[in-house]
Amino acid sequence: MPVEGAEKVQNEAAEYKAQSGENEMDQEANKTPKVEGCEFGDVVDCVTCKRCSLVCPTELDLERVVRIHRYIKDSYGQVKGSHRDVFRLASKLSGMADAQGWLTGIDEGDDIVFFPGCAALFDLLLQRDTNYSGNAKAAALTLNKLGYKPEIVYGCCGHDLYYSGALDEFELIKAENMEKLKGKKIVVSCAEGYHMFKNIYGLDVVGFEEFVLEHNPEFVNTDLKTTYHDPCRYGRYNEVYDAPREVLKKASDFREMENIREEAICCSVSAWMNCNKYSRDTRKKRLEEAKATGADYLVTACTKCSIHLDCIHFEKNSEDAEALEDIKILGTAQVVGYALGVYDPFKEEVDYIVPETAGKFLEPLKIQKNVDQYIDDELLDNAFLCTTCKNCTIVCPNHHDTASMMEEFRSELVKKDLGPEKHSKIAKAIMNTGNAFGEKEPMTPHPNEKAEYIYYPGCVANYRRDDVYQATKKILDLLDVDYEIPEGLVCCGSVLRRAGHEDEFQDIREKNTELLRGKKVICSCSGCYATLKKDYEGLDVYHITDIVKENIDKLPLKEVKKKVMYHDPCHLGRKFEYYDIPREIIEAVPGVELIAFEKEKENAQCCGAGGGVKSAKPDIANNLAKKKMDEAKEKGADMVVSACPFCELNLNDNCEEIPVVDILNLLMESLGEVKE
Amino acid sequence: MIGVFICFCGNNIGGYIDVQQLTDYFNEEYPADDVVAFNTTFLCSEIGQDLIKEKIEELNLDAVVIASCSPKHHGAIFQACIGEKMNQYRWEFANIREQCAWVTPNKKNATEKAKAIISGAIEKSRLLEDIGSTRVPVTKDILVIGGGITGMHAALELSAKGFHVHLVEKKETVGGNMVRFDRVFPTDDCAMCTSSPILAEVAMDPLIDIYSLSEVTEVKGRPGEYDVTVVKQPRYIDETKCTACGDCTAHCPVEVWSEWDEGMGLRAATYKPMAQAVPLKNRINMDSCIRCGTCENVCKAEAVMYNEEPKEFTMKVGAILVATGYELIDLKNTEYHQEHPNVISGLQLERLKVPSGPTAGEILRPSDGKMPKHLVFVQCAGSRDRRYNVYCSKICCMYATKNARLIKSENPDMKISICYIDMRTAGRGYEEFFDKAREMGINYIRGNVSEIVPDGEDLILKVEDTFTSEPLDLKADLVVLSSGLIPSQGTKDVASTIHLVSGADGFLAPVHVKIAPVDTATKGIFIGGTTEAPKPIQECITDAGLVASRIASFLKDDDIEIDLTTSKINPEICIKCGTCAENCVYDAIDTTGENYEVLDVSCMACGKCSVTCPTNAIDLSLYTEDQVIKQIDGILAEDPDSIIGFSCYQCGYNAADLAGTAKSFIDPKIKVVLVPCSGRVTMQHMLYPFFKGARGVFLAACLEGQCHYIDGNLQAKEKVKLAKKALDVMGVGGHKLNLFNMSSAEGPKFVAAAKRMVEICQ
Ligand SMILES: Cc1cc2nc3c(=O)[nH]c(=O)nc-3n(C[C@H](O)[C@H](O)[C@H](O)COP(=O)(O)OP(=O)(O)OC[C@H]3O[C@@H](n4cnc5c(N)ncnc54)[C@H](O)[C@@H]3O)c2cc1C
Ligand code: SF4
Ligand code: SF4
Ligand code: SF4
Ligand code: SF4
Repeated sequence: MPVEGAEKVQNEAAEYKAQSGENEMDQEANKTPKVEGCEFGDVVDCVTCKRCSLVCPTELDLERVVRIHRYIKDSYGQVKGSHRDVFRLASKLSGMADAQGWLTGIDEGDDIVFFPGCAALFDLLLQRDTNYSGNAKAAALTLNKLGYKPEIVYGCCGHDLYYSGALDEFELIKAENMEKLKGKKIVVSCAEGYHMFKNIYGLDVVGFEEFVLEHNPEFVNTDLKTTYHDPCRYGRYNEVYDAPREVLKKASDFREMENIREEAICCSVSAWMNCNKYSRDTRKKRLEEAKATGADYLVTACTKCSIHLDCIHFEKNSEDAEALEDIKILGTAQVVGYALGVYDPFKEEVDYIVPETAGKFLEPLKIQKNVDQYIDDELLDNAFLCTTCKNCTIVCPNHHDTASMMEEFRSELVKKDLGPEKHSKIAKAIMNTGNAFGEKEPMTPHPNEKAEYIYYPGCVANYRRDDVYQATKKILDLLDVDYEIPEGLVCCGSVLRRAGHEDEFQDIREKNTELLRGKKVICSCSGCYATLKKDYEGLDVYHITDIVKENIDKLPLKEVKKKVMYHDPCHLGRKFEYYDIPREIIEAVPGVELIAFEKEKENAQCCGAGGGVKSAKPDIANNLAKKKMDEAKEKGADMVVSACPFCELNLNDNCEEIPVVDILNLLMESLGEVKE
Repeated sequence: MIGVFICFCGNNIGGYIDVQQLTDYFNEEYPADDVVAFNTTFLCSEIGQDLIKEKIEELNLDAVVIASCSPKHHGAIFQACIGEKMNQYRWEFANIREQCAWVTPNKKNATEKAKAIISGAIEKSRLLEDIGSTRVPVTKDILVIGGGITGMHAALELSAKGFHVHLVEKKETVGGNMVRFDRVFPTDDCAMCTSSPILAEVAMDPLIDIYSLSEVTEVKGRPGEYDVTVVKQPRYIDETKCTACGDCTAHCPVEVWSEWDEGMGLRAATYKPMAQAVPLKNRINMDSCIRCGTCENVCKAEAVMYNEEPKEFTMKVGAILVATGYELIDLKNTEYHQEHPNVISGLQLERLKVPSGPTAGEILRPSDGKMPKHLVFVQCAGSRDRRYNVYCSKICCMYATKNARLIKSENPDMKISICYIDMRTAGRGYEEFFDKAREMGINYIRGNVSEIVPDGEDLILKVEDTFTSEPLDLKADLVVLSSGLIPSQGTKDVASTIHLVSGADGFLAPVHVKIAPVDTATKGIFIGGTTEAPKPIQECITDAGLVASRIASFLKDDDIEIDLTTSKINPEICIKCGTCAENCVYDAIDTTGENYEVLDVSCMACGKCSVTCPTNAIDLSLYTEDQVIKQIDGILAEDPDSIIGFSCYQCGYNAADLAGTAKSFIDPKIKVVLVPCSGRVTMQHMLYPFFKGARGVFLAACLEGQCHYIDGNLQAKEKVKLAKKALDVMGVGGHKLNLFNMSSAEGPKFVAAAKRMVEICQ
């Protein structure tokens, strides 16, 4: 279940959004279609930082899904790194050729292996005139100082290839590296290399900071004012939180930032995949945090973090660049090297030599992409766990639209016929009968061609929740809303799209669009609402609560003396930031006491049923619903109200004691039209 | 479906490439099956064009590949032809004539190379998109910078066409160099008689606003709508009150050398340069004013304002003419010893000769005011000399002859010699003019003056008479240097304020010397007269007329149409880091709004902005990042051993074409990829070919200082330097990546570059 710290992350995310007016940005993003690659959430946007794992109700292994999805999309040429993808290209090339030595002035031997990584390449290809490679140099000099003559092995650990889904290229690099590194003890001065060698290669590796601590050297220059940024490859991936801090405490004048350890804000780019304005804002926030500590140096243990955090400093004509000018970036080894008196981080010029290499001619890689090798039960399991609740997007530094990405990934799997059988059955039912339940009867029409509005009831209200269906009609009548239900409507296709049955969805969409276009469409189900509004094009869609809220004075509401809790449906709440209207309606009912769930609005926990989880993984759906209802019981609610018949269905299934009703049911009760 | 149309070009391609086999290959064997190929004898003929149009319709083609001659040749024809049936940008060319058939002697090799070239074009064409156009409004006012004969004449022509002109002149008066001469060749009419009507007309024209003592300090905006900032230096005399009576000059106690007279005469601290000055107002020059207060006391008009400040003002204009002219090379402290009082420049002689000048037209030597007995003209002083200017200043032979004739006819006893390398008197009536001079007894000595040795007040000229092979020590008592022309300081200043390209000689470069001689690489900005090159007045007038006509066509409508081949920014991902704007020398990226945006009119579609964008948010619409990559993919899929040569549209590509026209040999490994500017080539472009097995990569760019987009090749140079090092670190080998500079006319340099690459990449 969600880990410690999650709450803090969520609150903070909400606060940040409120401050930065980011809601508007979000809405903007909804309007403008993505340009590059895919129609859906862009798979390159995830930083694989695992920050969302703190809040994901299903605790799925998102990183893995992202990686494999990238692998697939790479084969369509739809994965492009930032900086025109030049860094992945450089990784591939250094794998294909024999990477050359560039460190100078190191006393080399064979006591231990030191792997300096790609820093020199970054210095060159970034065209920033910087010295990120200085960290590796400082680390090597420190090793000398500690009495070691390291064997220096040059090359690329393949981190970026691995996490960007260039898995075939990665395997080649890995094999080469293995040959050089197998059986040896390796020191690295970069969190990415550490993570890769330790977990992906399974080698005997020690992080630079830990190594220094083991030797407990005497530091002479400890005057630098520092604070520490946790790289996710150290922190959330490996729980290496203490060693760097210990070292910095000894080697410098150290202080902590506000968000640290598992809650650390990330540098917001990984594997060069996803730089955009959200990630830029996150970086800015991180630098501000660092500056607020009074430190002069933001120190980190990952070359990439250094590069990304440093980015703002290179902006031209930027107020932020100016404001954050005096919080400089250093690597941990640079601080250590300085403290030991063996390295000068303030030297102007870049401190390595570029050898002139003859360079053999490279044979183009012969790569045959084979997606199947990466698909196993575990992956499939993870892929269909997501409830598309979007909890993750809220805390994601990059606003990654994970839910959409999941949908797209599932469609890849469905193409290969690897989707859950349950989903295929539902898809067949929809295609055959027009509804998810396989009922023979078509959706009940309500002919009225002149009407301004269309009521789109959707499968649940039409076939399973007649109460909601009737209540909607009743209320529309009371409010003098003239509506029709055209003949021939079919399921909105939400479940098809969420479950990856994309071809079928397109079909359905076409059918419905034809019938719905041109009029104002009212939905009583949040799932339908979200689908018609976001996954269809060119429709004018309203949720029933929009209509009610406008005319609430027209309803002769009577007292209902009940303690009510409101459950935010994901497809209404987080998807559209639609939190207040339903609450206002509930509170308009005299006598109702509205109690809040502990996590509500953008942080609300989902009912567990979305994204096809209810059908494919009922246990998960039920557990999540139970958890939610347990809280309702604990808080002594008389009823739980929601605005989505589908959520209500699942919540009701998992609680006997408290009724879960639709907001319309509550209104009916208040109007004195209760129907048991 | 992609349609490939292959041209035999009679025997021009058919004779060197097996066109039928090529066609069959793309129809039958090419790995992608959405390709159909056709061939015909002359694709550019009506029959050929009809074939293209017919197939586009019949097969509903998505893109067209034209495999024929260089796009520089018939590109426009094909574009128009294709534009009739689909978007005019949905086609890609494969230059299999100049860059394949004509440089590859072996038919089999040529056919194979053609396959790779066409394959590159096919793969690139898959990413082509429709490119539309847009219209933007224009301001009809025009800015002319420089009020010499060129600027004045253009201003008058433009006003005659109904345009409002702002004429900005740095000096106290308009007129430029010409109004300081005595007579002008080839007719010997008086310079002032010719120019004073023009000066008067300019002064009175209601559509011409003159800003004297003014300079342009900033130009922003876009073609059709420039925001110009001008700074006017104080005159310290109120222009609205001064009647130019000259009372102040008469009473001013100061006497200093006059700039207008090139130091041949004196002036007071308050003066007007000449009686015909426009505007006709006095000026106090604060460099020499001693603030004695005399002028303030004597001025009846109360026009003196000692505390006047420089004024800054702005104007909006649609087009700009730069006519800031020339000056003479300074030869003081050289073997010409111009610092010697009796060694003067041609321009100084003009001031001596002018009847209204300091000596009232008498030729009196500066050191003692005596009439010289032997006057020697030294031709090519600082011209045609690698130590100074390699170019010929074109007009000196004529103006020296002019002045020699005039002086001789007035002073038949004076000995006049002219030392020359060869006399360049091409032009109507010029040779006759020169002939007459010899008849008049002017002593022409064919020999270059190697040194002028001061000998007291006299001078000894070391010269070899190449007719007699006799070394001479010519004794002269006045020497006139026919000093070479160089771009004026003002020209250089303007070029850096509005980013214009200058040639190796420093004069501003037109976009095409022959067919667009007054257009610059920046739309809406024109050059003319001696700003472009040394030339006589007659040619300045021709330029001025042409400029006026070009500007009138440019601004004839209320808006102008531009094709949107420009760069685009995706505001969704742009992080507003500003690097693109920094790369763009045309200020085409608007960074003031909520989102960064490319101004389509200003954008020259060079692509430099896109190469350092960290987020890939910005890209050109044509020659996109991925189109270039796909083209490389296509080429290397056919021939992985290729050497990829990114060639810029303005120079490298032309040079490659010229190598073809000259039927030079180029190794078939060399495959040219056309880019708008070498500065458009990204790091990815440089490295990617190696990943796909290419043997080498090079860039063929304009000569340094001559990039048509100002500094693209310099940006490329920096990038190549870093990429080479990166290739070394990766172990690929940086020597396999190189940059070569060449002009569009230097076919042999392209051949040499290709050869060098093949050697390196053995
Ligand atoms: C000694 C000599 C004799 C010659 N005799 C003849 C002859 O007999 N016949 C003939 O055909 N040609 C002759 N020529 C050539 C003739 O001078 C030129 O062809 C002609 O004057 C060029 O005119 P222009 O307008 O291009 O440039 P210019 O006359 O140089 O005018 C440029 C104007 O721009 C102004 N300016 C410069 N920079 C700026 C700035 N930044 N901002 C604003 N204003 C600026 C200058 O002050 C000047 O007024 C002679 C040249 C020389 C040197
Ligand atoms: S928080 Fe965002 S970037 Fe990080 S792993 Fe989750 S989706 Fe990816
Ligand atoms: S959408 Fe919800 S269930 Fe899916 S990954 Fe995100 S947090 Fe987890
Ligand atoms: S393409 Fe060239 S002119 Fe256009 S915005 Fe980019 S750098 Fe500027
Ligand atoms: S370089 Fe790219 S990210 Fe930076 S401002 Fe320009 S378009 Fe935006």
